[in-house]
Amino acid sequence: MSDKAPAHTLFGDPELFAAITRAFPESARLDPRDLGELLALMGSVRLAAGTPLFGAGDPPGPAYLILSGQVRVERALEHGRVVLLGRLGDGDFVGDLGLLDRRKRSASARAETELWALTLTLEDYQKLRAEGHPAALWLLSEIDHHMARRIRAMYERLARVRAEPGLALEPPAPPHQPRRSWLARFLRLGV
Amino acid sequence: MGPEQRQEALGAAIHQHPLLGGLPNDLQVRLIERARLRELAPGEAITREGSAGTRFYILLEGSARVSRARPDGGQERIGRLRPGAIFGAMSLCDGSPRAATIAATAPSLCLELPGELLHGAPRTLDGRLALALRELLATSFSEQLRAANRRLYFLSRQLEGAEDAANETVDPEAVWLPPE
Repeated sequence: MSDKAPAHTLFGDPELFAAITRAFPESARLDPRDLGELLALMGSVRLAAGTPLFGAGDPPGPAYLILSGQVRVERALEHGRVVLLGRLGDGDFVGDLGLLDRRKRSASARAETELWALTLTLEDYQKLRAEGHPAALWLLSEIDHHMARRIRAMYERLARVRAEPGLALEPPAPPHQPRRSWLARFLRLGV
Repeated sequence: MGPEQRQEALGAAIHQHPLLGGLPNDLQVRLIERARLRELAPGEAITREGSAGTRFYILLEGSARVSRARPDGGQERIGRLRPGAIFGAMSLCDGSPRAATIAATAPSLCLELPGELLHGAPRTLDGRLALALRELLATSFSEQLRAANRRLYFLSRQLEGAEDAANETVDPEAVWLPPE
């Protein structure tokens, strides 16, 4: 069930501005006009629990910025079993690798709960990138941040699997930690 | 190497790097102003697991080993770096301590870049450089993440006893190799 709003209606939508600044606190550092220009390029999707976002091997598609809800990223094994690669929530990116290259999707993703997300295509990202738009720098810093966290989580998991092989199929359920604001990080506050 | 020779070597290294060499000229000039060459002797560590990161690096020549502390106190080798690899940036991006210790395994040469280069103001020269460097990092991270996903996937398949997975050769160090 996809309810895709036309992009132009997103510009100046107060509910959306509130949602993005809640899920992605660092976006508040963007000039509201720059944020508005980014939102104008994005789509908004609301998906029912269980809806696939994309499957492993699919052609490249948009990146998703999760405003609310949870997404499972997984790959199928034999006998109907799956290996859960990650579980993503509010303030996370899904399919962001698709903004960096035009390769096929490397894993499958589906909504685990009701999901509200923003979408951005590679073409629109590249438009922002080409003009050095502040939103492009913000997006990249968010993507770098999330990827670094996911790589760390994956190393921890690989180390645990090597120590105790039975863990490979066990879903990790890292509690989602909202990103601390730049001010909190600057002051090293535990908020 | 004298200061002038170093500056020349720095310019050449940036110009010849497969990714940095593609940057517009003004960004390359800015990089030369801000970057530093670091020579490493075999065994010399450049990042230490658990320490705070303020700089990131590009390996120009030589090779390096990536290792993490094991719970029993030993060190586990988890990867290898070859020239072209970008490393040491994860802690700059997520504010956490360094995830691994990286030490040279041969006489090596690195480009050392200050973390501030990732924070230039948009629509300035430094902002354009930050955008370009962050994109390089994102590409390098995405390679690492895809490789880590693949490793977990094949590991899981092997545990499931999949016949083809048993013969599957996944480069256990692929995680740290830069894209071709």
